[in-house]
Parts: sequence; C-alpha cells; structure tokens
Amino acid sequence: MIEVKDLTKRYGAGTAVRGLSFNIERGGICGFLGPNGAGKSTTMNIITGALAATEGSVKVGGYDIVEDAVKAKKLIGYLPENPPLYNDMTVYEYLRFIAEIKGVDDKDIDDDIEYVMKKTSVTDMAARLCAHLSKGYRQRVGIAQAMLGDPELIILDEPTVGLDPKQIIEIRELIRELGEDHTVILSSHILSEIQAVCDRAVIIANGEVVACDTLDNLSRSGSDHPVLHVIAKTDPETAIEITDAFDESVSHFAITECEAGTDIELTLFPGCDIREELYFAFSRRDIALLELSFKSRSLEEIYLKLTELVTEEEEEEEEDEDDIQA
Amino acid sequence: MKTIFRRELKSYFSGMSAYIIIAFMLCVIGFFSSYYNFTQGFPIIEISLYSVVFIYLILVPFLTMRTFAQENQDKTMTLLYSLPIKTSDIVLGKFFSTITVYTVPMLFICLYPLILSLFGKVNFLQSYLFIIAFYLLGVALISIGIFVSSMAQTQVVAAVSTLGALLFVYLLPDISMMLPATPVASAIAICVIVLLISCAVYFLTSNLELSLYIAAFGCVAVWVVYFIKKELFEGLIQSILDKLALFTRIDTFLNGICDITAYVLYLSIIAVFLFLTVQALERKRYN
Repeated sequence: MIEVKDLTKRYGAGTAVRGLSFNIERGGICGFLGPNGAGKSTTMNIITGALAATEGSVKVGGYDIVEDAVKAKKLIGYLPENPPLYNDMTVYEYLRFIAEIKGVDDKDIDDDIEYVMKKTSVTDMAARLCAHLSKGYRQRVGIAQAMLGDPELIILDEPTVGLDPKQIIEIRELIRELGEDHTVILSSHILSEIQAVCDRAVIIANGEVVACDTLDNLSRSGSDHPVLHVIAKTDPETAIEITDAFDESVSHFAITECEAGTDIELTLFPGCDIREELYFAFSRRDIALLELSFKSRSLEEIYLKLTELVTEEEEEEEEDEDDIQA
Repeated sequence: MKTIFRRELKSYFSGMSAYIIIAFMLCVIGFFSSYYNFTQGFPIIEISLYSVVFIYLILVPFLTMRTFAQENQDKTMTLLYSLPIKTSDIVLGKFFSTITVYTVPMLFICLYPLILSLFGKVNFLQSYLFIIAFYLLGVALISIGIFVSSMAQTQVVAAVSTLGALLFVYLLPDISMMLPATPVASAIAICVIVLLISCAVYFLTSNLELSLYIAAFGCVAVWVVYFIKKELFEGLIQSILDKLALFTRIDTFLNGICDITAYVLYLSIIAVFLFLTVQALERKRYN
C-alpha cells in the first residue's frame, strides 16, 4: 500500500529524515513510534504530500505522491498534528467542504457526513462554528474529516491527544473498526496505545527506521533469543536436573525458588522451541507444570533498547569523528 | 476549484470584510462623483474614478491579506496540500473569489454612465472602456496582493507588504522622473533589474548555478549592447518604468484613446503573478 524508498529530508543544515525505507501492506493498523523529533510527523507529512522530500520516493497504492499527486491523495485521509479546522465554518460546512474536494458524489455526501459524524460522536456539534469547539471536539472533527470519502489509507497523527479517557476508548474502538477494511497508520507517544490498537509497528529514531515488523515478532525478538518461562512444582535441584538435558537449546538459565515450586527462566538459542519436550520431560517424572510460556518483552523494553542503540551508535560515530579530528 | 471558490466567497460575506470593502469603495467613488459629476456637472465618470485610483492602495491589501496568510496562520495549508486538489486550483479558486468581491461595487459603478446620461451627453464607449481599464488595474493589483499574501506568515505582514509593493508601483512614474536619462544610468539600472530577476529565480528554484548564470549573462549582455549602440539606452529606463507604471496606464483612456497595450499589460501582470503564487506555494512544501 505504501512504499517508501530512501526518503531524505533536509532543512538547511539539519537532516530530519535520512535514507528512510519501509513498506506497509494493505490492511491492518500500523503504529509509528519514536522519540520526539525522530521524524515521525515529517515522514507522515511527506507520505501525504503536505511536505516535499529532498530525496527519495513515496508511492501510495502504486501512485507516486509527486508524479500522480491527485490520484495518490484521493486514496488518503489525513489528520495532521494540529487538527486543521476553518474557524469561520460550522462543523457541517467544514466536513462538506472537505468531502467535495475529495470528490465524494453529491448524492452520497450527506450520508457520508452523517456517518462520520456519528462515528466520531460530533453530530450534536454539526451547526457550531469550528472556532467555538473544545479541543476534544476539534480532534474528533479532525478524525471525521480524515474518514470522509472512505479512503483506503487513513493516517492519524496523535489522534487521541486532548481526549478524555472515555473518548480515548471510543476512538481506539473506532480505529480498530477502521483497521478491518482500511489501512490505518497511527502515530503516538503512548506505547500502551500502540500496543492496544496496532498489529504492526515502525519504530523511527533519529530520522532512521529502527524496526518495522508485527508487534508479535517484535515482542518475541528484541535480541532474537526467545525466553521461556517455566514454573514447576518441584525443588530447584530436580528442576536443574531435568533442564540439563536440553543443554544444546539453552544458552543460559535462571532458577529461583518460589512459593509454588521453582521458577525457571530459560534463554534459548534463536529458533528453538522446546516447550513440548520440556512438558513431557517433567510429566514423565510426575512433576506438574504451573506455567509454560514464552516471555514477551513489552513494547516499551524493545522501543527503549532500539532507540538507545541508535543514540549509542551516534555517540560512537561522534567519538570516532572527534578522535580523527584530534 | 469551485469548492474553494465557494468557501472563500462565503467566508468573505460571513464576516465583515466584503461589506466593508464594498461600502468603502462605493462611498469614496460616490463622494468624488458627487463633486465632479453632480456639482461641477461633468458627465464623465472617468474623472471621478481617476481621482480615486489611490484607494487601491488601501483596498487591495485589505482584500488580499487573508487570502493565504490566514491559511498559514491557522495551519490549514497542510491539509490543503494533502487533499486531492491541484495547487493551481487552490490559487484560482481564491483569486476568483477575491475578484468577485471586488466586482460587486464595480457593477454598481457601471450604472453611473447610465445615470449620468439622464443629465448630459455621455460617450458610452469611452466611459465603459475606461471602466474596464480601471477594473483590470484593480484585478492586476489584486493578483500582486495574492502573491504577497502567499509568502507572508501572518495577515498583518501580508497587508503591510502588499501596501509597500503597491506604493512602489504607484510611485514608479516619480522614480522614473528622478533617475537620470543618460545611457549609462539606464545601463546600470537594467543591470540592477537583471540582478533582481536572478535573485527571484534563486528564491523560487533554489538553484544557485542558474541564478548566477542569469546574472552574469544578463549583465554582460547589457554592457556589450551598450558599447555597440549607446543610443539604445538613452532614456531606456524611463520608458521601461513608464510602461510598467500600472496606475498611469489608464491616463490615455481619459483622453479618449483606447490603449489596447494597457489591457495586455494588465492581463499579463495577472497571469505572471498568479503563476508566481503557484510557484511560491509549491516551494513552501519544501519547508
């Protein structure tokens, strides 16, 4: 759906984004994650054509955003960082304006507007001037505008900012619904939100893509070594005896005694899944297993680790440069 | 484009802007007309309009300051850039909506010759050709104002800059008179113009090579021609500035001469500045 190749954006001396490349397939919800100033909004602006890249290309639905701008933009619904409302129009007039520019058929316009207003719960504000809306309503009208014309790709830059907890839940539910038959890209600082709503994530740090994968894969990887968590109803010595048999698959382990028995954390070599064999090994000795699962790293851990890596690399590069200069 | 046109028009009329502009224009013209036409008894509307030409200096900045500067202020340009609409459509939509507001009082002005014909002999052809020239002058100045507005960050900056630009155009005849008429002076002045053009090219394309080429080539060409045929430059800068002095190109119409080149000049200015506006907006996307 989206192909980004070698995207670079320079502002005078500084570089916001460099050599960014990633692909996002049709369908599903993809989260854009990254520290402040990493280049998330810049990338989103470039994808939607609001900003022009210094180098590189972006294709949306097969259409280049520069060469076939109008065709590409017809597929996109965009909510920028600050919801862009015309203060001298009412909510209904504004949505109508956007719908007309997007090319929605005259006979469908009213239905479309009613539908998006209902979904974002702004129907009772339809006749109010945009200038008189609270932040929460402005945000929701912004989301409504992005949904007009039923675009295949919906890009939302921090959609839940300024909403109260109930509204946040409603919007997340809406986004999940949209993800069923649209491609949604969502950027957020709130990791729990990305975790709750998205099935894929692109992590951007310092203008570079650090990760681009499904959340499942990301949480299972981190360092490519899966971690198996076992609680066995036995004493530590027996537990060690049994797990010893799996030496070739286990790179290291940690054993602690706990109330129920023994808590074992096995760090396995990449690609190893010894759950079945472990289960049978314990059951042959009549030892009950209370827990047998892969420990998933939270998105926060992965995110911090990956973004730290980039800063470390940068610091190393800077040190190298300093050394060379000195 | 129609959508933008309708939105802008609605915006003008939902606030006070359009009404103030229309009222202001009709009042000032009516005021002068009541003296020249009704007190002094001249059945020619051209005199009243001509004496009132300075109102463009106030009217146009007020009319065009919000065209793009407001979008820049409200950050709605980001949205417009991401919508499936061509930049040229945005510019044309806004241009036509501004023209429409300006045309409303002009339609009333068109009634004046008819009213005056009740009291005296009116040369309709002359009056209406003058009105058309007066109208096109306004449209040309509006296109300059829209260009300035597209580059301004706030409405106030747009208004003041437009006023400055229009003042410069208004004073072109005086500037032309103050410059020496010697060939050397003209040659130097043309070099200055070449440099300004190359700066504009650099600003619009960010291509340093191209602008330096234009500057170097232009200046060299000027001095080469100067040394070949000095007489060509005699009073050249004066005639150039006089031809570009938009405000005084309607003078000949006053004397009953229909100067087609004036129409051509106004239409060209409109085309050039609308084109420059589209370029300025495209360039903004790089920042």
